[in-house]
Amino acid sequence: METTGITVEGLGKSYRLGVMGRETLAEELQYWWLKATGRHPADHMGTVANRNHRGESGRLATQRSTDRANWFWALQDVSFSVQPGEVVGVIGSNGAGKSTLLKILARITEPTCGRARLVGRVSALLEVGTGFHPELTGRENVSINGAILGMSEQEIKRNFDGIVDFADMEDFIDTPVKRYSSGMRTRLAFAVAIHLDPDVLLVDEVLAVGDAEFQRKCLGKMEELAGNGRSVVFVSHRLSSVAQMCSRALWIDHGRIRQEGPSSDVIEAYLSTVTSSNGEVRWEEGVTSPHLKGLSLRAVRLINHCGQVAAAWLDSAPFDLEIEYELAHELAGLRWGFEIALQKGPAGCASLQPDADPSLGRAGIHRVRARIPGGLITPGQRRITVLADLPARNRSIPIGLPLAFDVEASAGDSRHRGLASMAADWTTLAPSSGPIGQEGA
Amino acid sequence: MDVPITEIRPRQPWWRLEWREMWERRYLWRLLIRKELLASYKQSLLGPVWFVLQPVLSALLYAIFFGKLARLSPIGVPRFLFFLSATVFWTYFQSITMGVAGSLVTNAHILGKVYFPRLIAPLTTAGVTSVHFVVNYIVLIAAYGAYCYRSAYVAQLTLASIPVVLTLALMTLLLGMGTGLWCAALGVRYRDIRISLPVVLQSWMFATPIIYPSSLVPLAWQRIYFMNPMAGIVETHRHLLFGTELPPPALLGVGVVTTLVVLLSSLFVFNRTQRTFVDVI
Repeated sequence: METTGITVEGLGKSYRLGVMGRETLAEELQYWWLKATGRHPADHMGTVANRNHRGESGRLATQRSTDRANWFWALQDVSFSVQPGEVVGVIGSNGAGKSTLLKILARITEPTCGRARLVGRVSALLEVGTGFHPELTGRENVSINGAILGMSEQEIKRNFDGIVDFADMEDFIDTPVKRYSSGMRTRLAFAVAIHLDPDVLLVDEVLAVGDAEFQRKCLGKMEELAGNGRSVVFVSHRLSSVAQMCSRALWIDHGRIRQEGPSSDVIEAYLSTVTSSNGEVRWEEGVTSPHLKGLSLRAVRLINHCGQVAAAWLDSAPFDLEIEYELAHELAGLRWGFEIALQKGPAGCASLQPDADPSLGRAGIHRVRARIPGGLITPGQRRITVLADLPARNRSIPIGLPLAFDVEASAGDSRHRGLASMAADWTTLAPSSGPIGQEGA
Repeated sequence: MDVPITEIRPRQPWWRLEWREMWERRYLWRLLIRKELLASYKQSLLGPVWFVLQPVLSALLYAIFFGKLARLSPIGVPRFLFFLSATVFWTYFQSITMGVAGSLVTNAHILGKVYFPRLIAPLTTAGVTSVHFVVNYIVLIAAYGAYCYRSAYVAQLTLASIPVVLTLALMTLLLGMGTGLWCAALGVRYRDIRISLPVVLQSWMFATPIIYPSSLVPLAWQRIYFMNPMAGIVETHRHLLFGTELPPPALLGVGVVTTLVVLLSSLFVFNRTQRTFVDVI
C-alpha cells in the first residue's frame, strides 16, 4: 500500500451567481411566499453574487435555472496525482482556482464533485501565525499555533526549544505578542510552521510575507521533506520559486488544468500567454491581490522617451513604467516598485520608491510613473513586473501580469551578458613592479 | 504502521461527524479554552470577577424588584438565594447559547485558513462557559452555606444532591449547545438570527421560572410550560436547595426529551453547514 501521496479525480467546485439575495430569514420567507403564490421571486427581489450551492451541479443547475441562477465553476474536472518525494507547483493567474484547489485539499471547504485521497498526515500552510492572540505571550502562542496546525502535545513539547531557537527569541518568549514587531511575529510563526513534519504538505503563497532569508529556509524545508519521500503541493505566484523547487507543475486556468508536466515547460507556456507584448495591459475590473486588500490595479504601460506606449526601444533610450490603480480605502505607506527579468528566469534587477508619497495611499484613482534610465537594461527580450509594497509586509508583492518588452542594441552587435549593464570609470594604469597603491609615492 | 488516509468527496453523509478526529485533537480544544480564558482576563479591568458578578448582580436586582417589591418569591425561602439559584443556571444557558451561536462567525478567520473538526469551535465556547459556571456555582454554595450558618436555616442540600446538580448542569450544557448550534448554522446564512437572538433569549427567560416560582403558572398550562427544559432544571434545582415542590416527574421527562431532540437535530444541521460555510461567510 502507498505510504504517502495525493490522488485527485475529477474535482470540481461551483458557486452560485446572481441568485436571489436571501440574506435574512425575512427574505427567505418572502421568497417562499412568492413561490407559493405562484409569482416569480426574481421579479420581486434583488440579486446577490457568490452564493454557494451544494449538490450535483448539472442536475441542480437546470432544475433551478428558473431562479435565473448561474453556476460559476471555480474548479472543474481537475485530476492529478502527487507521488511520494515529489514537489508539485501550482501556477495560474489570480482567481484561476489555485487557492480553491488548495482549500479543498486542506478540507477547509468541500468540493461540489469529484474526489481526492491524501495518504498520510496532512498539514496545510495557507497562512503563518493562524490563531495568534496579541494578548498572549510568545510561549502560549507557539503552543496554540502548533496545535492549530496539527501538532500533538508531545510534538510541541519536543520542538519547543527548536522553535524558539530558530526564531532567535529566547529573551522575548514570555512577552505578549502585541509588543513584538511584525518581523518578530512572522519569524516566530514561521519557526512553528517549519517544525511541522507532515507526510503531505500543502503550501499557499505564505512565502510572500517572509523576507529572503525565510523564503530560503522554507524552500529548504520543502526540499528536505521531499527528500524524505513526502509529497508537497506548492501554490505560488513566484515562478522562479516554482522553477527552482518543483519538478512538475500544474497550470490552472479558469478552474481547469490547462497544462501539466515538467515545471520548466509549464512555466514557459504560462508565461507566453500571460505576458503582454504591446506595451500595455489594462484590466476593466481591475486586478486585485489577496495580500493587498482595497487595491486594484487598472493598467500598466511602458512609455518610450517620445511619450508613446511602446514595447520596444533602443538600449540607449530611457523609458517610463506607468502604473494606474485605484484604492477603495486608504493604504498608508504604499510604495511602488518593479522588477525586471530575462524572458525566462528570476528577476535580475529591481527598484522601489525610496519614500512613500502620502498622496499615493489615499482612496481614489492614481497614476504613477517610474523612469528607467537609458543604457541600463541590456538588449534582448525582457519582462517587467509591478511590485506593491506596504510597511506591514516584509516583502513587496508582485501584482498584475509581467509586461514584455524588447530592448534593441543601438550599436551593432551586443556583447553584453546578463540583464543590466552599468557605466564604470575605467583607468589605464602604467605597468608597475611595486606593490599596488605605491605608484604615486 | 497505521497510515491515516484523508478521503475528500462532496456531500458526506450528514450524520457523519469526525468523533475520532475530535478526540485526537482534544489537546487543541484544551489550549483554545485556555487561550479564551487568559485572553478575556488580560484585557479587562476586573478580570474574572465579571463572570461572578453577572449572575450575582441580576439575582440582587431580581431580589429587590421581583422579590421585595413584587413579592414573587415564596415565603420561607431566602429571597436572594431563590433568585441566585436560578440565575446561575440561566446565565450558564444563555452564555453557551450566545457563544456557540457566534462561534463560527467569530472564528471565521481561523476556520478559513486551517482545518480542524469545526465542532471544536463551539465546544471551546462550551468549555469556557462551563468554567465560569463552576465558579458561579461555588459562589452560590458559599452564599447558601453562609445563609444557613447565620440564620439557622436547615440546609436541604446534601452530598447526595451532587449527582443531581451535575445532571442538571449537563442538561443545561446540552440544551445550550443544541440551541446555539442551530443558531450558528442558520446564522451563517441568515444574519437576522444573530440580531434577534437576545430578544428570543429574553422571552425565553420569562417563560422560565427565574423571576417567579413555577407554582404561579396555572395548572392547565403546566404541561406546555415544562416542555421548556430550563423550567424543569431551575425548579428541580430549587427543590434541592429549598425543598420547594418538585414538578411532576413526567413533565421533567418531557424536558429531557426536548433537550435531546434539540441537541441531535442541531448536530445534523450544524454538520450540514460547517462543511462549506467558509464560502458563504
